[in-house]
Amino acid sequence: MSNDRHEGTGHRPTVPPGWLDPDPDNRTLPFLGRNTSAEPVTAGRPDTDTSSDSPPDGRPDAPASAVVHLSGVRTRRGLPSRDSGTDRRPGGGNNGTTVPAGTGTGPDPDTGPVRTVAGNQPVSVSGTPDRPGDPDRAEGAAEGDAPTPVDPPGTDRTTALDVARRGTRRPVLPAWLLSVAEFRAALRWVAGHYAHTVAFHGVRLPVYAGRLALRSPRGAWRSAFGTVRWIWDLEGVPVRLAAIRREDADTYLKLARQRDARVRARTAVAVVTAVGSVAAFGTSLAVAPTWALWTVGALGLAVFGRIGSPADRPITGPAVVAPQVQRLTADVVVRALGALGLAEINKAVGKGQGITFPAPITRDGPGWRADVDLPFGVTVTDILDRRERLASGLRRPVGCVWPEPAPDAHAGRLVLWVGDLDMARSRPVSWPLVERGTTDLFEPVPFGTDPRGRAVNVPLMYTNVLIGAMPGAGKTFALRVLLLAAALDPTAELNTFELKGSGDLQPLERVSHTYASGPDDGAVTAVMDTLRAAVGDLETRARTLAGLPREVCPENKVTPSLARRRHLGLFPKIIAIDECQELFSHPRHGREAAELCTTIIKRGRALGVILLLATQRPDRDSLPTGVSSNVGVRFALRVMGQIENDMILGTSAYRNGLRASTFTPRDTGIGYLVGAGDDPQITRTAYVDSPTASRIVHRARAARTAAGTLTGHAIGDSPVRPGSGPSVLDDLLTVLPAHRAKEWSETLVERLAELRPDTYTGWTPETLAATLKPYGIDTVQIGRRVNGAVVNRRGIVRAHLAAVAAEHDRQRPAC
Amino acid sequence: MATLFIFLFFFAVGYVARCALRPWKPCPHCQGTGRVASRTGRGGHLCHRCDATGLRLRSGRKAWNTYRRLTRDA
Repeated sequence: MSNDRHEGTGHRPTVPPGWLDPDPDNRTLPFLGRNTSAEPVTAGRPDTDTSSDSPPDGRPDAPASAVVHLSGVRTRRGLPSRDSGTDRRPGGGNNGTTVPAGTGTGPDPDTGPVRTVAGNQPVSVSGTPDRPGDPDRAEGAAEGDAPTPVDPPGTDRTTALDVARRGTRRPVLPAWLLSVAEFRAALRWVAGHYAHTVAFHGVRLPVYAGRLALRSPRGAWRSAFGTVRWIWDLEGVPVRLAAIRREDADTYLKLARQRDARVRARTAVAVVTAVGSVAAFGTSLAVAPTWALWTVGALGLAVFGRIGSPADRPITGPAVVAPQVQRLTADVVVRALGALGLAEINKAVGKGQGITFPAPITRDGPGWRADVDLPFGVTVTDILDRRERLASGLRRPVGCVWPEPAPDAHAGRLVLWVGDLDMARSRPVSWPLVERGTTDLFEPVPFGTDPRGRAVNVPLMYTNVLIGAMPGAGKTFALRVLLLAAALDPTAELNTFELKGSGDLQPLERVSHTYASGPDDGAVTAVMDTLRAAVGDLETRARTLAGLPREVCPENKVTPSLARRRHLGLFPKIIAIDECQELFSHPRHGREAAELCTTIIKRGRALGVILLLATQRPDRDSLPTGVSSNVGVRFALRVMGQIENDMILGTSAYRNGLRASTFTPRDTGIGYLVGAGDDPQITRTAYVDSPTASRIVHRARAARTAAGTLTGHAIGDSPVRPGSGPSVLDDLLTVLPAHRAKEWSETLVERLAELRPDTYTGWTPETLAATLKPYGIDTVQIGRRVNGAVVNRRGIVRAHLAAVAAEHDRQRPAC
Repeated sequence: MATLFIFLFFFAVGYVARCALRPWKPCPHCQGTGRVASRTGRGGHLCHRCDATGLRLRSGRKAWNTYRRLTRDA
């Protein structure tokens, strides 16, 4: 017989205390996690966390496996027990705190637990005072068997503060009060709801009027009959008839007298009212304006129509039909878990015990949340394997059923969220930045929503992102959302590569510093160039950072203020590679690309270089280990199996219950997001289609033009390649921000030298003027007040420059 | 003979109507007073037949009640 200590949740030395004590007076209170009796309840348990273990109803739920059957049981059977009269279910009274010393005695499954150790050692395992003359002990002593206590004697005093310390603090204010966006959304919803209701009924007003008019005769008849009933006290008829039936003359006399009195009084009232009404009607006919008469008539019609309406056919229908949501009840959950085909669960369910609920089932967002404690030995991952079966057992679509492990509880704690609507079918929440707004990459950017419809944000700065999925699962769309967010930060430099050639990232071309698309070597070469340049840039950035004074750069990493100072070159640099497996499995460049990416991922984090990778084939060849093991944020949409899952989400993610393989083909855009928040979460990517993306990019480009940060490919500059010189015009446009109409040549030359030191170092205003002459751009006199005195210098007007550059662009062959 | 039948018919209808509309008749024992005078003329007592109400149910109504009781459930 194996020791039952190893049952249950591994870290606890005993079976949960809820079972240990069969004495109802001493039973721990469920939920409170402390016992209310003066006497310590059970054998000393170092862990007093009863809240998670003791079943809510306080029954001693002991699985069969916890029963210790030992010889010696029979010797005590039938003896008087102080526990007699308690709930005696088989195994229910096992205390699990003793192990046999030899083949001696053990707890009697029928008569409840033995709290004290049998034998001649007067050791109490429970803190219960030894009772002289306890028959159990006497019996044990007679046999000479001595079970030794295994639990350290200790107290289980738990104060309310102890409980509170383990608990989680609920937010002081609900989320919709804290977030402006959520508050606005809530407000918009309420306004929309009532506007719709008003419009709905407003349109139907004539129908309602007709209905009322049709029903008013019946209402009039009902009113008249009701009045008669009232005046003649017809409701008393049955009582009087009953008195006649019983030949109870005395009661009949009383009833008759009461009836007479009533009829007299009511007749008087009715007569007065009738006379008054007729008088009022006559006067108003003569006096009141016509519209008032019509109004009164209409009101009367409405009142009679209302009275004449059958109870089951109301005048108005509902403006909003609420979806019929089946309640999630404990029975349904237990039934569904029992239908999974898990032997352990079935065993427990068959006994009507084992599955417990540490917290009530509640509404959570648009769905129900059930916290479930699975039977001992069953883990959440066992359930995750069988999500579809679970959905079948719950009688819901698979897309509604989201079992998750509880991140900070034991392995058997299941958080089951059952949505009202299929997540894939419910309307995707629109991306908050579609219409307006810019981002700051130093803050998490909006990415999608969780199953409960709450916003999920992803940090991009100081991290890297890996997105993986089967083809068609929504990988590129997810990457595009992140890139659009990055594009909306004017300071960030985008390098966009898409090695499939599908053009899904095409909209971003207009804001990207470098852009290449296609399955060919050309695109791969472009990526390699950018990666090499980026690694070189890492050195520059590191040197720049090292050279900065401590007070400017306290942490040795890029800060928002440093990123804003563009001449330092520390702006966020995003390198996004869609279908990166093409790069890493490239016969010539694959190895080097892996090394470069690993370097960037490891070092670029603090230096503001961010790598976004998306792959559809995450295996060892197409995703280097150095890359897959160092990425901070991972997003796994639907994948085929465990290996792909673990390559994206990290080793043992599958074992820990993060299983992107459980998504169905319809779950497009839905995946596990790891590293964005404290806990992994299921996230649905915001849906931004290509036309919308183009609109957003248009806005991003405008913001960048205004900030003067439009560079490289976006302004027609070919990628910086050895041998191809950058255009002076474009560089000038870069360094001459849109809000400055004109600028001194001196200043421009300085900035050009900052932008490309190897090209422009040593340039003077005269060089610039000479260079621009062939383009037809002349320098003009620009007067500026410096320190009170007007200084006149030659300079360049941006409008001239832009016009010439645009002309130049048109003539240049399209790339 | 025919006259007799017509008379009986109207009498029956009249009696039924009476039983329906005025189920009670004055107690024949106390003439509807509820009290019975003693033979000596002094004192007297409350009528036992009508429990001092002075009212008795007509025989027709009683028969109807009995018929209902026998033919209906409960």
